Amino acid sequence: MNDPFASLSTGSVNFGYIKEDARKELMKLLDKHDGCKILVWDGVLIERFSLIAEYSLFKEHNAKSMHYLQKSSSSHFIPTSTSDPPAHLIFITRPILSVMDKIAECVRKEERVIKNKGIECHLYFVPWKSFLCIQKLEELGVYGSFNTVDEYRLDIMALDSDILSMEYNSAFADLNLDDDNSPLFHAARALITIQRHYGVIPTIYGKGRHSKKTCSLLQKMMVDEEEQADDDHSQIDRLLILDRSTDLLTPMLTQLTYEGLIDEAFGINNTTVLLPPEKFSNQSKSDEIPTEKKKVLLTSRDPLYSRVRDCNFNAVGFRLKTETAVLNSKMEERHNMQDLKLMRQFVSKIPQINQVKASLATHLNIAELIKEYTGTEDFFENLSIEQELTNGINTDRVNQHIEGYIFQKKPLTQVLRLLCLQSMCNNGLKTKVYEYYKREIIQTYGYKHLATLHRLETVGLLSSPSAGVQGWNYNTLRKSLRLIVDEVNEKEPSDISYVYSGYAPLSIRLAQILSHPGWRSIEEVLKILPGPTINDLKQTKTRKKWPQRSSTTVSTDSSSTSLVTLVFFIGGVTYAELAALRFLSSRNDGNEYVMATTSIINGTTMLDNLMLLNE
Amino acid sequence: MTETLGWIQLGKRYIRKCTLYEPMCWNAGIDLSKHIVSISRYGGLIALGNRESNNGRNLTIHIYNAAGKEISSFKWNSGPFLGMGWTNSDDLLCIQEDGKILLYDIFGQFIRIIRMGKECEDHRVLEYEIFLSSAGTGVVVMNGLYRFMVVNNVDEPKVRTLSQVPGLKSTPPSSWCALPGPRGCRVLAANDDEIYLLDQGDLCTRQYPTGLSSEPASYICMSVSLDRKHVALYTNEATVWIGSADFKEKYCELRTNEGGCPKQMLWCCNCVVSFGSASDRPTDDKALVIYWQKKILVIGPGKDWVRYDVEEDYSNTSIHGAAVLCADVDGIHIITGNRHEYLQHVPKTVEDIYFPGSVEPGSVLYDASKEYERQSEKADEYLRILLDKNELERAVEQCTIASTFEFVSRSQKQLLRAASFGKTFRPELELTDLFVNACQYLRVLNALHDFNVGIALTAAQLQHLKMDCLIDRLVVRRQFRLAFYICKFLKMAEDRGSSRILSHWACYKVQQSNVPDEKIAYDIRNKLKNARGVSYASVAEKAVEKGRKDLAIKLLEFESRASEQVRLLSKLGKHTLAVEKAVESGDSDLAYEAITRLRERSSLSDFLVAIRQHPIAYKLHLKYCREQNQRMLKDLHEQEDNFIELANCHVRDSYGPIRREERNVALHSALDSFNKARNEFAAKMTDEQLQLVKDQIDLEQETGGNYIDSSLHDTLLMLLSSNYNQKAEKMRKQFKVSDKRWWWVKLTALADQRNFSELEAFSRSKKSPIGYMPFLESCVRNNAPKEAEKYVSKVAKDQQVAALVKTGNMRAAADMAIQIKNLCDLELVHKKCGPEHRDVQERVGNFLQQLR
Repeated sequence: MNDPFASLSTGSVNFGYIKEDARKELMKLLDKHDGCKILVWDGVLIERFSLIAEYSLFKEHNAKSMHYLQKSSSSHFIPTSTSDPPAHLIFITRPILSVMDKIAECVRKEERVIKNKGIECHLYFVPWKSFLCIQKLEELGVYGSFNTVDEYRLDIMALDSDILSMEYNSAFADLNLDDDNSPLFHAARALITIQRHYGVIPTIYGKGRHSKKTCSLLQKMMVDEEEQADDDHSQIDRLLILDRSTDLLTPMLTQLTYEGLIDEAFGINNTTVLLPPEKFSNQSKSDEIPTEKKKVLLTSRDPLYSRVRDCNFNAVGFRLKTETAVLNSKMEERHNMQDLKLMRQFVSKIPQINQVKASLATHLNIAELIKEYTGTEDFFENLSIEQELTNGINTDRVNQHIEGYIFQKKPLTQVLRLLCLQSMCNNGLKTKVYEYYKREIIQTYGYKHLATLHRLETVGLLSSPSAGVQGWNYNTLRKSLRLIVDEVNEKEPSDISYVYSGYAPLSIRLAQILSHPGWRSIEEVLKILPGPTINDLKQTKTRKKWPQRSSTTVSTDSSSTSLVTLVFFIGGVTYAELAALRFLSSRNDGNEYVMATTSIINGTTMLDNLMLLNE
Repeated sequence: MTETLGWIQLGKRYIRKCTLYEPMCWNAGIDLSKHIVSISRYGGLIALGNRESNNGRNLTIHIYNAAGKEISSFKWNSGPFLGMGWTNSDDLLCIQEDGKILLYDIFGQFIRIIRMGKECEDHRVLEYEIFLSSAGTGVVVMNGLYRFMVVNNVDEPKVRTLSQVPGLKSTPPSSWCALPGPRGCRVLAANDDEIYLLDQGDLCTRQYPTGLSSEPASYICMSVSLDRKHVALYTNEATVWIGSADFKEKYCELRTNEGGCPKQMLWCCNCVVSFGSASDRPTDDKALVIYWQKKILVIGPGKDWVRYDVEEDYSNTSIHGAAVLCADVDGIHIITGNRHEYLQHVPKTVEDIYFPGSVEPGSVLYDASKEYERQSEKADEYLRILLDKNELERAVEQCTIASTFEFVSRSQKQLLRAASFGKTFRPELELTDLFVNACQYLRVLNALHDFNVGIALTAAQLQHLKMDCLIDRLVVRRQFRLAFYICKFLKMAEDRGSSRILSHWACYKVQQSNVPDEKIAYDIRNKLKNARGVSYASVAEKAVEKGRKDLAIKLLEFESRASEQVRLLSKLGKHTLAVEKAVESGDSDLAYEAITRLRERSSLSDFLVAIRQHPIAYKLHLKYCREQNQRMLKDLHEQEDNFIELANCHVRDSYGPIRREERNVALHSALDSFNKARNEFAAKMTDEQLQLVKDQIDLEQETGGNYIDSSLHDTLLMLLSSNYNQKAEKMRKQFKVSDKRWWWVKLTALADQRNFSELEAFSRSKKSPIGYMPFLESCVRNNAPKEAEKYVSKVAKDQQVAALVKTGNMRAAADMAIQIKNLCDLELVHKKCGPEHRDVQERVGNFLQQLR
């Protein structure tokens, strides 16, 4: 891999810098400890770090071996037999209290070897050092064993060329369930980091109470920031902070883009998806069916994927067919080639063609898997319920299908997604209807879910009959924001509603209207939506945007003059929403979007995070 | 030429005596001979103590700036006073006869005490010398046993004893002086005619001055230059021997014809690299200065000499002609009752320009500039000479550099004007930089020379001292305003310059004990609000040091770095405020730290009262408890009357591998809490759960299965699957299970058992509340399509095609769809046809086209 940021440098704002920085910091950290090292990882992080550095890089910096941190594993990390012991044992962990127990156990187990061989122990917290964790380590009596206890600051990381993520999965639950505002503090810090790289963003917009808080934290931090930030060269013109709790509706719906469906069906983590191996078996030479799951990297580095990821799934088959045809015609060229020069050109293109071919094969398989997933009656029925509800049909009574799902004990998250949807589309459920649902859920899934339901009420996903979400009026929103669009062209979309086949995500509508015609046109709607509005807050003196941005930007006229908006989602964003923003960027109407989020979510992962009892 | 007035030739070089201040600000009647005087290097602070006071009683020490303006004075109220001297950071060392050394700042504030040890205490200190070296400021003392003790750095006082002077009888050494070196200070001491170099431990080597013309009976005075390169010996026969410090080289020997021991003997050297150093190497200027009561003798290394009379011009008879001399790095301060003069070698550059008949480019340019002012055509002529020789650049450089050596602004201006004139023809950037730099230096130097400030620095000294260090000194002298403007003028970075000064100013301000807290806090805020990077925490820390806690807390209000603010507040015991500030910062980790401190320092009840006042901190604490301390969590909810959350805790408690009673207690507590919360629905659910658990326990005893922790639905399913139909029926009634659920559970259980006959019987038992599609589907799911087909006819008419499709009977489905001509159904069939039903698909496809 020559250029590790190749995939990150296609957008108008190059998020590669963020990755480069993270990489440099990591290497600095490794080089700080001279000699051979053994790394012990908090399992979640090891996957996450694959976004920053590949395994070989660790090797280059003298990391002898890498291990997962496991509780009560009998084996030792430090080989007792070798004559050449490592100089350092480095633990890398998230600041999570429960992980501290595991670390303490490990340290105690290795204590003897560490002492005998004079090995130094180090502990690094990612993304920040936690007082509570250190306290815990002290309580466990192992704090003194570490030569260094420090942090590897990782405010935000680049998932792709246009999307940054804090990978803060518990952000929504922390904020709305526990009233723990830590995610906002770290989001503000992430914004500081972003501004250090791309300049101080001149204006801020936002919606929702968490947006407001983030904004004020950011302003506070900016006071302490040194003047070095070069506001002349801000590459981002506008910041839009969207609080997930402003739009809880969208994630409850099933995403219908290609990438969104892959996430719904199989779950994408750190841009990677694990797929059932059977489909891919015929690719391997042996006849045996591989047992290990097939790992596929899903980023814009694969040009084919970047073309299909945001398509409505109904258009994916067609797209892949077109791609196949293009490839075939390219392959056909060779038959009627007489000129040697042409042939040489063709030969030079072969590796590229092979790459496309491989990618095409992979995605044809994935598409088939997704087709199986969407082809079930269940999926179809689920979708019709969603559409019925978002259209405001029969939202005020017990829905027979949902009821049936409960009686059949379908996965609870599936039921809850629909139930929350119904509640929001009806501006809260009538007491009788609500209690009926609750009773049936408890009878099917158990009494403990009384607490689960309470949690969903707390975060505003379900509104208890008496309360209702203040001011929220779905019908008004639906009409004035044109959330439901009847005529959707899934192949050649003309509106963002294609990502949910007829429903335009509320959050993205807000972003779209902000760009054109401006939020002034929806003042009444903004009042209905929960939380305060941040309107045109100036961070720096406004400067007229000159058509010529910088001489180094080589791009078409339209994009060089376009207004770049960074949309920061507090509490998570779905792939379908990202697709909708990319769709808006692709229209070349003078508005471009780059995205940042606390994490990427879908309805199921969001609810899973709220249901602690499932632990 | 007036500029060379007062220059006196000394060998190949010239020396000059420049008047820095005249008259002095102090009382004109002062008699320096009656005082112990000490003058500081780099700036010329003057400390005076009355020599005639009795053993330090009634002694007052006055501190003046270089212009004789009093900075402070303080009454000596310690032990017997011996003498004093300045450190390199402008602090005053006062030495007592008992070997104690007291350190004061220039405002007479006592700083600390240094002890020279028991031996000095017992045997009195007789003589001392204070020296500066790379290690800092050091002191050598000689006690009553004629032994030398050294402290190399007063900041880390370690007393070392030097070797004794060999062969010493009952008389003290006839003379001695300190010789600081890289490995600590040594002492040169003479026992009459023998000179020894005394080192640490017992090391001691005799020194033999080279080429001595006659052996003297005794050396009565000696002196080492500041750069430790040269040494001078004065014999009882009034002869001076000067040479290198290792005695190996003799510069010259001279008979002075003076009676008596000199009052002072010191070296006038140039041991710093001067301004614009690139072209000017430090010249090896050296001369010995000897001072007797009435005259000063300057001796050059080539045996040339010059004599000055002290106060030769005084007309006021009340002024006593006493002077005090002090060697600085590039000259000698000479202070008398009404003057502060500086004796130095004329810097080479200055000499080159002013010396009559000089053909140095600088001199030519200087002349050209003067002619130009006179509007004489000679200006052009001179300039051409320089241009032809390509020497203009060098000329500008010389004039610029020379200007910085001048003390009088008229001369400075003259030279700068010449430089500027020349510069118009050579617009090189380096020259401009040099020029600008020189102007800046002069501006600063002239400001320092003002008698109110009274810092007598030469350009070379300032260059050597560095601007940062100068700022520090100004801060120490509380010249905040001047320091601030110098920083602004020189555009120094804020953290190094103006902000730093403001912080110091604020630290000084908080020490003004007579000003009320509010006023100080207001003043500080007012001055500092536009300064970047000022640490209010460090100012507050100073306030704490001075015992002003309240002021510190007020100041901390302005601190923007929450971590500093919280840390100090915690230290001050303001834990509640620390929590508040930590929470405001948004940094939860900091908040947890503050909460923990609060918890550690207060009783549980106080803690709970305090934390409840900060909702966000309270929520954070709840979160922590949820993970780490369930007991505390419940207490908190109970205290807050948050019964719903309390109930939820109990709900959670009622699960898991716990004993029967515990489960019951948990559920009853939950019930109680829900009742208190007036949540009827949840209370009812809890009631039912209690009943369910009770029934499940019974069931476990009766059947031996595992029922606990299962939902009602699962319990029913398990019972039906195990054919405990009676028990299931009983539970159905007891829990008022809805018909729909009952049908679902029962059909699922039967189909999963593949008990299709019973399933069919059940379907016929009465009209199904859930329709018949579920029956059909459950058969399909259990791979019994034949069984499934039985239900096709029972399914609602509009779903029959779909039902047929589900059973896999595509042909029948197609037939029916075609028959009823329903578009949706036709499409469904068309879509669901697999490869084995290609023909059906074609038929339906054709029909669909016809229909459209």
